[in-house]
Amino acid sequence: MKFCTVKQYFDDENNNNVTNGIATTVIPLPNKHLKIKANNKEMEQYEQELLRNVMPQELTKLILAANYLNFKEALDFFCRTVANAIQNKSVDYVRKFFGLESDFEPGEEEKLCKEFAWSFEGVDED
Amino acid sequence: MSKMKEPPILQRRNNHLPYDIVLNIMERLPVKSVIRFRSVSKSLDSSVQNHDFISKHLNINKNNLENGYVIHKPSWEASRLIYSSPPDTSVFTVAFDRTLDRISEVGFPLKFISNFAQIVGSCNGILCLAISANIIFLWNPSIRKYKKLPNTCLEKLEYVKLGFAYHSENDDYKVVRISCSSLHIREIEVYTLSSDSWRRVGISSTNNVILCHDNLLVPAPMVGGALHWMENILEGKVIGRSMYIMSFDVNTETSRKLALPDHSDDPNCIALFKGKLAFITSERYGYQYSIWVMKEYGLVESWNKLFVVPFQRAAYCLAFTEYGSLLVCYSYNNDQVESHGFKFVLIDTETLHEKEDPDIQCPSYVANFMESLVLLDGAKAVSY
Repeated sequence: MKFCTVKQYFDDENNNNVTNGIATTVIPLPNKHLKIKANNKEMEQYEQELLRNVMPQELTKLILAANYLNFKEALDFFCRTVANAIQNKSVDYVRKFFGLESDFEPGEEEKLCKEFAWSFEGVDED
Repeated sequence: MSKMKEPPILQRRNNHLPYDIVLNIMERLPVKSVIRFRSVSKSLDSSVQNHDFISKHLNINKNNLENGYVIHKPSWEASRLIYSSPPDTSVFTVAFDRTLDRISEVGFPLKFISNFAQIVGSCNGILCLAISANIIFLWNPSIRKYKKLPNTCLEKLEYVKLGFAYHSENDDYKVVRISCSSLHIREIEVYTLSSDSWRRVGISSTNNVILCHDNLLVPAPMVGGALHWMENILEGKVIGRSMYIMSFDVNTETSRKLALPDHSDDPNCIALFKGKLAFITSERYGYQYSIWVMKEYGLVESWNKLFVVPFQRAAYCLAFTEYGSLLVCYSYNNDQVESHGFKFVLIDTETLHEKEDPDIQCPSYVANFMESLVLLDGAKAVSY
């Protein structure tokens, strides 16, 4: 099933270098995943490399590709990588990253921030 | 050139992730981050407090656990016995379960009473604390929420034993309280988090005297879906006594007896060892400790003496972690200064490797620990 979707993906895409890059990262992933499934350390190293070479926004595209290909292991892996990348970021950063809007009533957000002030300690600068 | 049809994902204008994937990412974040990102949007705030989200986050956390953690707290009563000026008994310390090396400290918000708090048990990131037989709290230190349990539904509480368990069949949390009033009658009541109330589930009386055995400072172990305590029945006028394990099935809420292996006359405690029921007993006046493990739960024949730990001095067992570390202390006399104190040692029961001067230096309650969001959706749970 994976092959059908991949073929369709290649048939559909226009010659976009970015999407090519995604295809080259996502497609080799099943093999690498199988080889290093037993070894968590190597997976961690691969994840570190990915974090260094790929901006979080690019990871978003990788996730979308993995989702489209219905490739669960890759999807989980990239989601985990994104989680590690954003865990110390500010609320504003995450809002922009996910494209979510603050739909709180006036004063509600301040109330939350005050109640959980402890969770805002040690946050990275934007 | 014909216009090729773009796949749906490239048609997306803003390239933002669909909401279910946003939640997939949120489920993998540490607890502190999840709480902070509640302020991102109203919908995210609401999603994060959803019971399913909390369960998924918990399961991902559990699967990721490479290191085991424990949380420990000095016992006020025990510390008073050995120290003239006892340490701060209100501090809870999170540590690695293998070495008991300290990671961080947390404090229960009601600081004054937390001096007397006993750790009854720990499940999925929630601690059950007892200040007295009738004053019990559930506490999740990772999300800074706690909840006081209502009063007992029994008429009288005497010689109380407590246990805390996760009821997997109902995805619920239960606190079990056994009261051995008048020594002949054993009453059991159960609190469930979902109902936020106590319910009496059993009463039994016997002509013999029931003695509930102290489990040192170790929480009642949960194995095979049941909580366990040690009990003694004095039969008639005969001085001989038999100690056995009373197991309480958390799902059926029924109890039964389990025999202990043949042991010397100084049982210390029952505990959890790598998911199995363990029994620790001291021999030769504390110069030797034996650790038995029930290899097949419920099968008394499967009790197996797994480890024997020798000591050069009479040692007092204080705690036994799930990993298999035995914490003991022994008194020593310092001839030069003419004073004596206590030395604490941590033994790895498998390797018999000794760790002198561990980060715990007084009799403490020790329980397993992990971070979770459980209680975030709890009714009447107080934030601090």
